[in-house]
Amino acid sequence: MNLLRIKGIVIQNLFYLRHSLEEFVETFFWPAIDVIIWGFMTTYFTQLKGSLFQVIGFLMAGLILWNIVWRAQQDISMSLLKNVWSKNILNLFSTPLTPGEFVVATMILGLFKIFLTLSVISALAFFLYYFNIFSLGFYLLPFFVNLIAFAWASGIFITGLIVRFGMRIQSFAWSLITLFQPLSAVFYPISILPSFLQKIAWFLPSAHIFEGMREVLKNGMVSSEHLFWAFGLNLIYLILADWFFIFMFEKAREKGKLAKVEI
Amino acid sequence: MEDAVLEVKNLTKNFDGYLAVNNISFEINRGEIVGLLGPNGAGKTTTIMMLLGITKPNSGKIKIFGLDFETHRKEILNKINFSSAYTYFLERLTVFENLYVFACLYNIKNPSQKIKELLEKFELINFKDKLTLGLSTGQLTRLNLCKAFLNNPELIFLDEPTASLDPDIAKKVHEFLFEARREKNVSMLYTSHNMDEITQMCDRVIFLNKGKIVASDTPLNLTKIIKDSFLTLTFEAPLKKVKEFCLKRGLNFQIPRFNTLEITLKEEEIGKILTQLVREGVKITDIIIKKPDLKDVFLQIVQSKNKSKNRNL
Repeated sequence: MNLLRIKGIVIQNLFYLRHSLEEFVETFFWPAIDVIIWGFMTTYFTQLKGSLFQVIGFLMAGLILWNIVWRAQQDISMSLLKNVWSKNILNLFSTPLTPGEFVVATMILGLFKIFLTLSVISALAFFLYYFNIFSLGFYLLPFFVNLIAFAWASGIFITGLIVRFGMRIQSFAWSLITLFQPLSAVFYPISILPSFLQKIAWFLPSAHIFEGMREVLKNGMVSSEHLFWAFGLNLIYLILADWFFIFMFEKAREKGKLAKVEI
Repeated sequence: MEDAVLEVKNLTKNFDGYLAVNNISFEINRGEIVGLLGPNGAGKTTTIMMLLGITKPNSGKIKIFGLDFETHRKEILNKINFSSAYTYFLERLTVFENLYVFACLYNIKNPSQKIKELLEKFELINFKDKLTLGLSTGQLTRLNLCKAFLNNPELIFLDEPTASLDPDIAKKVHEFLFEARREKNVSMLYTSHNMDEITQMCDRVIFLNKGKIVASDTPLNLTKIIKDSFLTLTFEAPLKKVKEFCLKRGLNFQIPRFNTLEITLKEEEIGKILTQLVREGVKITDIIIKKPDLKDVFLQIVQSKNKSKNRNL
């Protein structure tokens, strides 16, 4: 054992941590998110009066629908990252391909993959836990559309950040959306959140959808207000995300970052 | 002006205070192959990135096929292409799949046929179904060239297109490029660190240094900037006598090895010096006369710029 060599490797990793925002953030990001979500869930369970079957229903539906958001957002961002990792970005954007066409293509791809994900996890939930996601009935369609739209808006926003700031923030592709999970109240109602967080949560389309999902599972219907807010917010966020992506793409061209996005 | 396919006027790129490209202007005519040379950091890559629309200039105009690049980006990019030894493809796609993607992006009719033709031309047909991940550097360079000719470009930017290629494959690539120029009148902007390649391939050379064009002419005319030739002599005996001979005449010489002498002198003086050496009774076993080439021009330009910079400090 040579202490100097051990020091060398320790120092190497500390240097890396200093230059790698993603590793630094991940050091505390995931544990913090877990603590927050499980904290709110525990609070919710202690106040719960419904049957165990209903609780399982809430959890399973939340899990399945959150996967839609998570997967669809990742598909958008990963589509760019795959090309960055392979050093194919220059080849790609020196063709007549426009940033808008790139985004639309990734949306279509995301839609296709989400159907695959949804089929598998809803079948597993049915056969293993007797939970049928289709018990949401007609409401499944607007829920699905809104969650996909929210995921697309988030994915496009994150992709814009990666185009502009490069690989230093690539972990945003799989971590940033998780930041919205506690506020989206996936596994517990919004009323569990502290009041200041409740005000922020209502600005998330996903919060309206998960609140609506619980209403359907409990009462068989959802208030049209939730759907109206979800559709309206998604429309605004999609427009803003598209604008942001194009703006960041142009900024990356100005700064010369598109030529060095892998850095 | 002849039939210019590319016109660059007062192009400037400043990266937060670092002037990468400083007010350059040049053009490329139809069917012309122009070399872009310069040391590392001279602004070659930034220039190519601006010509491809990847990087946005701070000021200046780029016109391709007579159209403004910023306002006709899509139309222009459909008719130009790019190959660099430093770009790659999606590694988990096969050679064919990668090219098929680009055939779609360039809206190629009958893509499979076109891809097959190019793969045969660049001797990659046996690797058609191989994952790009498993290709050697030379094979990747050829795959880049296949991509670059997929859309029958009228103007092509080649960034070290033969880097990592074996001499025989590099020769075939050169032949292919000449054929593309001969048959389809393709214009090319060519960068390479291989000066012999630039001399062989290019009709005209643009020298960049610190973001500025410092020379632009045919390779032959550029070599005429340097008046001196290089005479290398090898002797049977040690050099004492020869060294005295050179010192007496004030010749500019170096002794790289114990029996070898390198003299820098004007071409017309070579005969006289050799005759005088023979008269002195010196036995010469080998004579090499080297005329100045692009490498010497390159070194002179870079060194003279560095000297003038040091003088100013």
